[in-house]
Amino acid sequence: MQKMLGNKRVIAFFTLPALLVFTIVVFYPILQTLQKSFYDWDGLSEAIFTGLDNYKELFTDDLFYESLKNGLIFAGILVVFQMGLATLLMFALMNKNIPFKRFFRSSFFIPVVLSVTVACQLWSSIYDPEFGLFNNLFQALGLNYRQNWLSDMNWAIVAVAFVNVWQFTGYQFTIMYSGAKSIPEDYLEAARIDGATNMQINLKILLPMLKDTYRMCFVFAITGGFNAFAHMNLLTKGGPGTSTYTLTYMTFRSAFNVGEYGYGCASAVILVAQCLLATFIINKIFSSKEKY
Amino acid sequence: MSAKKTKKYVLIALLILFSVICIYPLLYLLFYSLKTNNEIFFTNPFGLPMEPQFDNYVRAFNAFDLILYFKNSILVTFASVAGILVLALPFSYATTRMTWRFKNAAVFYITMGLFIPIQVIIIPLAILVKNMHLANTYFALIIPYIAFNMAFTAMVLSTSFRALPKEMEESAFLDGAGVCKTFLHIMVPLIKPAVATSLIFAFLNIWNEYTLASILISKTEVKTLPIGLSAFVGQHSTDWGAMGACFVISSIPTILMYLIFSEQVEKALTIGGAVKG
Amino acid sequence: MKLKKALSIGISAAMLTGLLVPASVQAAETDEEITLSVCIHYYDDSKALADYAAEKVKEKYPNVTLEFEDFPQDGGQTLKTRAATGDLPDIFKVDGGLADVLAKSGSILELDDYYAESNYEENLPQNVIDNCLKSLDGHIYQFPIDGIPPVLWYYNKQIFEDNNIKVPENYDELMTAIKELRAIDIIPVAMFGKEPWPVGAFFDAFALKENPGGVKALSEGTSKASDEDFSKAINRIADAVEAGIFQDGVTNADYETANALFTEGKAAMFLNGSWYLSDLINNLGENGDFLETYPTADAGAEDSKYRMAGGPDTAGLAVSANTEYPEIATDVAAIFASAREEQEYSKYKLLSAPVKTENLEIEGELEDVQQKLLDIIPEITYGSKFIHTLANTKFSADMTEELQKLLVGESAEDFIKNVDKSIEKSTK
Repeated sequence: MQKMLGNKRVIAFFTLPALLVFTIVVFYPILQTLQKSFYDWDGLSEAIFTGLDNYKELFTDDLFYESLKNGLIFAGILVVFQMGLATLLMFALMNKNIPFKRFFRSSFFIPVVLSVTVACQLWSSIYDPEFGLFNNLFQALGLNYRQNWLSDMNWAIVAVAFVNVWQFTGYQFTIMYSGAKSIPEDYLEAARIDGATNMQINLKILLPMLKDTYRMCFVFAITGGFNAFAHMNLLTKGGPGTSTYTLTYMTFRSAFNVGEYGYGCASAVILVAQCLLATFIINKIFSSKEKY
Repeated sequence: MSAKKTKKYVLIALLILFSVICIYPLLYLLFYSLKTNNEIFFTNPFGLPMEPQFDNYVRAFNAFDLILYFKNSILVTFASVAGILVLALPFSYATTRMTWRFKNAAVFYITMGLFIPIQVIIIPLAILVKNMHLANTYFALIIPYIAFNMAFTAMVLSTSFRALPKEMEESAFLDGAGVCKTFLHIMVPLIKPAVATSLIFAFLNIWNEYTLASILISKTEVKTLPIGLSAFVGQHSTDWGAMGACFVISSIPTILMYLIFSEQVEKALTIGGAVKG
Repeated sequence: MKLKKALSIGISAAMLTGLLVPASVQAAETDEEITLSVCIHYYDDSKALADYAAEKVKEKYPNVTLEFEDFPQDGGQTLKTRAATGDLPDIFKVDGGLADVLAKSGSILELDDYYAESNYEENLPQNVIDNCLKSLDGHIYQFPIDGIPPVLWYYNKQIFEDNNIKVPENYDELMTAIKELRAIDIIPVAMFGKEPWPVGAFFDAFALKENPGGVKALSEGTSKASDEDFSKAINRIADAVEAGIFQDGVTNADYETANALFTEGKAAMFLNGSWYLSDLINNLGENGDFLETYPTADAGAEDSKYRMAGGPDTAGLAVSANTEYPEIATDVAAIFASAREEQEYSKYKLLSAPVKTENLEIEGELEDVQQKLLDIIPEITYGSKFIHTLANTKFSADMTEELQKLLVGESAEDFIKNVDKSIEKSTK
């Protein structure tokens, strides 16, 4: 058994092609990004080596901290609301008494199927302060709660994050549900015979057995929040002002709007480091629990 | 007993509510594509179209070479998805079931693909594609798509591989099967649901991908649907109805894809259960 | 014999590659089929314009076919990346900022010699020659298109007449109008604040009244936001915002939204470039008009009357340094640009088109508002620029973001503080 699964040639045959493609297409450009982060470069002309200057500037740049903060807010909202909602939906559909499972599952996935462009088009209309669904709904209900959803300096980032929550809850749900479904029925059945309630089964059996799945979901939600880009690009263009900037957006701005590609590379390096660190921590947390 | 029943109905009601929130955009899109500008904007943004404007679809079809872009998108997407599976399946098998020293490092390394924003590395990547003499070919998109989607796919597949009991391989080896054969004929069929799931995700990602396609492809013959669509949006930004029609047309394959493969997922789920049961 | 043959092959090969023959002759004598890619706005009217210009090119070069790509509106990302890979279109539109970057990296052809030999300047009005040709490094890289459009303050006559509100001519009247319009639930000014330049133009509409340099003076570090004149303008903007000059969600509105508000009579005024004039006529007919001066100055301020936002940029058609046929492409770009602009002037009545207008006839009658613009064009002075075309790109990005914040309620003090910080950082 060990000999079979330790076969070096098979391992090489299985992993090297993937590693090779990845190294050339993804890793090599990252290395170049790292290198260029030490240069003053507009993306086209001769680059001038400036050592750590870009990083020094970065750490005194208000925009950097605002972007960092927004990334954290975004990630936090995704973890709490997207994963939370997906978990609740998964619990509900694991419940034996719920009918129309097939229908529910398919409908949850519909927002994922639509492109981000379509989703943002829809939400722009919903958030529109004059003609939008929300403000008109509040008005119809007689509530004086009209909001400038996407033009409020403090709340715009939350409004944008919730579009992502809405669109990709189905994605997280599908991953969790397939994971839960592949747990052998006997485990759950045995607990039920012992008189455990549904909630007890969910919390005591389902969640621990889905540890690996959750680790993956955490990585998706947190790194997805850190480098959110598409939704703000379509909904707010980073605005009002800089209130919906994330590091990806900041990188984009430096590289293409301002013509400081080198500086953009420095913020990109921080972004990648931040995501690696988060992944590392998530892995650590989930593997340390394994010992118990 | 009745409290339990009430609880159940409340739960069902909540699920239905959430389903409506999820399904509504599809209807919204459909309605949108059949409305006049004035309706979309002022009088009736969210309801049924008053008088369906089928003309919007005619204009959408006439505006650009939809068939060509469609063909390119299908070609690029299928080739990429196939490539991803060919590379990611053995990779995730080797990193979960086989024993070797650097496997965790290899997994961590590939994970980077999850959070590299394409905008960040677009210039070095574009130069790379050009130096490989791939610019303006299908491969200019296929190869980066494979590389960028591998991390995600490998993660989903690994989770499923890891969940399989050891006995599966043991009995296969006892029967005299080699690693490759066991992998192909026993292990891969067992994780069909994960394969179908990751396949859907990869398909969606690639089908809708815009940034890379807009920069690496400048020849009309190779352009994909999102590019055609965005050009259309740019050029007819005041013709919202036709824009909606374009969105509907471009969403059809993704919805079909999902319906076909979710069937697979469903089937595989029940079969998988039977094997383990 | 053999030698002679070899020589003649050598010569004809050299002729083909254009080594021995002067550019103009070579251009005329090549009759191989050539396709040149052209990246420019290509939809609705601009498509008709491009197709017209392509026909004019065909007249001189029957063998040249132009293949159009629509201009990507993404802040230069696509074109910059394609420049990095050497995959630029043969001929494409640049604005000042992009031209500077591409010129520096040698991605576009310098056109000084072509201008000198062809007397291209003869086609251009003096203000374009003075302000729209030379890039930062003193060379020419483009054939101007679209000209120098002023930003106009449009208004809907009917709304003011029906409700007995005075059309504002100065700042105090503007504030009164805002109040009165708000009282009848009409948005005073529709604004597309998701894009940078309208926000910058709105700032200049106030700032230019106090300082002829406007946002350009700030970007060059010659003035500060805390200077008395700018600070006066900024406080006025903040007060106007506070009074409710814009629609809700102003920083998130794109052109379509703002235009729809104005066209549907839900907003009384609208800021846009002079290119909007023909749309105005289509949309509002008799009721569409623009204010001769921005209503942002003290009553009776005469010398700032015709200072307008907008202004010159080195925008136009550039030629890729990687094109296979540099001479032909340059000549084609020149013919294309001048034909397009003449047509834009005479058929589409773009009165600011960069062409000499003496010999051009405008097709059909000019509407009153168009005549009005034509009359004041000689009076207009531009001391500022469109914010996205400022040479100081870092400041331009910061300023746009700060302005958006000002538009959604940031205080004038914070705004001044942050802008001065950005001036200091970006001009050192």
